[in-house]
Amino acid sequence: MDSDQRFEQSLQRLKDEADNSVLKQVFFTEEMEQKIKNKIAKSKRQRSYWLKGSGLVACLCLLLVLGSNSGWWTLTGIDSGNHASGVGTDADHTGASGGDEPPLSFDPPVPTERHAWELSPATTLPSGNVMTFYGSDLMEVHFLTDSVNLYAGNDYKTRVVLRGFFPETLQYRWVQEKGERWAIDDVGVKQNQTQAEFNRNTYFSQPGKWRMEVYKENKLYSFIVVDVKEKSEKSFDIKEATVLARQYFASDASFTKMGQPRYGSIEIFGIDGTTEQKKIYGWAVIRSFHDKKNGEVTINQALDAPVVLDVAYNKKNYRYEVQHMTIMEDKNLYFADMQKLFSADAYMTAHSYLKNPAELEQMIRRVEQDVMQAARDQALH
Amino acid sequence: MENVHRLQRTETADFDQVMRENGTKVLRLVTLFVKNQAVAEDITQEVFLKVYKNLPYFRGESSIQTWVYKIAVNESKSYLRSWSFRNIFAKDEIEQESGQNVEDEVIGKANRETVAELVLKMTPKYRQVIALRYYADLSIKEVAVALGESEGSVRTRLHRARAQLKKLVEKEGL
Repeated sequence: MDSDQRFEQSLQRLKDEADNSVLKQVFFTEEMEQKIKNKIAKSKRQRSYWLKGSGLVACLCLLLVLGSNSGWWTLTGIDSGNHASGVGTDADHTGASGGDEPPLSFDPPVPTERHAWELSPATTLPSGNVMTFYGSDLMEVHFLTDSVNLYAGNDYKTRVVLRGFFPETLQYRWVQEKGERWAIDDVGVKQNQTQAEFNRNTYFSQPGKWRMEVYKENKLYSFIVVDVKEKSEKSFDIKEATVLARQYFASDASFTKMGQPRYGSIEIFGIDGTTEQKKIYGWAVIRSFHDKKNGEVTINQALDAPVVLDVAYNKKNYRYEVQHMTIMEDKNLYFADMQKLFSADAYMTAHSYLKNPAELEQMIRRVEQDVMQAARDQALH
Repeated sequence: MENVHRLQRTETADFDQVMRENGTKVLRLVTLFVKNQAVAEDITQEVFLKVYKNLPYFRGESSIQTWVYKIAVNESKSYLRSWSFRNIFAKDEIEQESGQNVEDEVIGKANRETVAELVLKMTPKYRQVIALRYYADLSIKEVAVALGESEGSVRTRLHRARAQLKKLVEKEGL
C-alpha cells in the first residue's frame, strides 16, 4: 500500500479515532441542555417585560452580543466609489453575477409583525476611519456607513453588502416606520466569490426607524432596520464623541512625534455645548506601537492626560470635527487646570478619579485595553 | 428530522429534538475547531441559542444539520478572532505544545499520535475544513454552505489542508 492510500485510510478513520481519543470525554450533557433552556426562558421573560415596558430596544443587547466580530467587515472600508442619491440613479458597478454557484441555504428573516421593526445590531469600528456596520453574522444583508450615528437631513456614503449570489441587478428600497417609502430602485451589484455589494449615497428625510428591504428576483431577500436620529444638542452622544476622539488621536499631526502606528481612546467625563459647537471633557490614553506580525504589538510611547476637545459641526460634510485640543500635561496643575477648563459635572467626575489613584489607574488600564485591541486588530489586517 | 414542513411550524419540541440530535455532534466539532472543551461548551451554548432564535425561519434549503454547522462555524470563527483567544488561549496552546516533560516525550514516542491528534496540530483554517469534510462527513457543497464560501475555494482550501495533514501523518509514520 502506498503512502497516498495509507493517507486516505487515515482520513477515513478520522471520525472513529477522534471519537475514541481526543473527543472521548466530550458529550453534550443534560446539564448543558438545561442551561440553554434556562437562558431561553430567561430571554423570553425579559422580552415579555420589555415589550410591556419601553419597547423592543433592549432586545438588541442579545443581538449585539451575538452579532459582534462578524467576519465580513474585514473585507472592505468605505471608499470613494459612491455614486448617486438613493432614489432612482445608478450606482457604480462592474462585476458579474455568480453564475452557477448555489445559493446559500440560510434563510434570512422576513418582515413579520414581530421582527419588522426590530433594530439591527450596529457596530462601529474602534479606530481609524469611522465605519459603522449594521447586521450580524446570521444576517444576509449588511449596511455600512461612514458615520457613527445616522441623522435625518444628512447625506451619507453607504455600502450594502449581501451574502450570496445575485444576478447583475437587484432591487431595494427604504421604508420608514411612519409610512414614508422609496420606490423600488434597481441597482447593479459587484459580485465576488460569496457576496455582492453596491454603493449608494443615502439620505434620510426624517428621524425614526428605517428599514432597507433588498429584493432578489422580485422576492424579498433580506432587510435591516436602522435608527435615524434627529439632530439636536443631545444627539451627539458618548459613542460618537469617543469615535471622533479616537480618530483624532490616531491621525492628528499634533501627535506625530509619538510615531506610528498610533491609537488612542478617551474616558469621557462630560459633553456640553450647542448643536454646532461641542466640548468633550475626558482623559486621553494614547499609545504608539512597535508593530509586529500576527497581531502582536508592543508599546512604543504613551501619553495619559486630561483633555478638552473643541468640536464643531461641518455643514459641508455633515460631520462633527475636532477643531482644537487642550491637553493638561503638568500633573501638578491637574486640579487647577481641570477646574478652569472642565464643566462643573466633568470636573466632579475627574476630581473623584484624581482623589483615588487606584481607580484612576484602573480606568487608564481599561481604556488602554481598548487601545491595545485596536492596535492588534489593525496589525492583523 | 429533515421534515421541513414540520420544522417550519417549530415549537419548543422541535428545537429540543434539533438540540438533542445535534448537541454532541456540534460540541465535538467545535472542540476540534477551538481545541478547548470548556470554550467549546460555551460556543455550543451560543450556537443553540441562535438555532432557537432562527429556527422559525429555516426554510430547509440545506439539511438542518448543515445549517446548524454553519452557525457553529460562524461562532467558532468569532471566537478564534476574539481577544480572549488571541491573548489567552492561543498562548496556552503554544505553551502546551512546547511544554512537554520528559515523561510525556517518552510516552509520546511509545504511542504514536493518532490522526485526530495530528488534526489538532493543524492551523485553524485547515483544521476547520478537514473537520467538516472528514469528521462531520459533509460533502464539498455542504462544507461550502457551512463555511459561507464557494465550492471552488473550499476545494482549494481542502487540497492545501490535506497536504499539510499528509506531511504530519508521514512524519509520524502513520
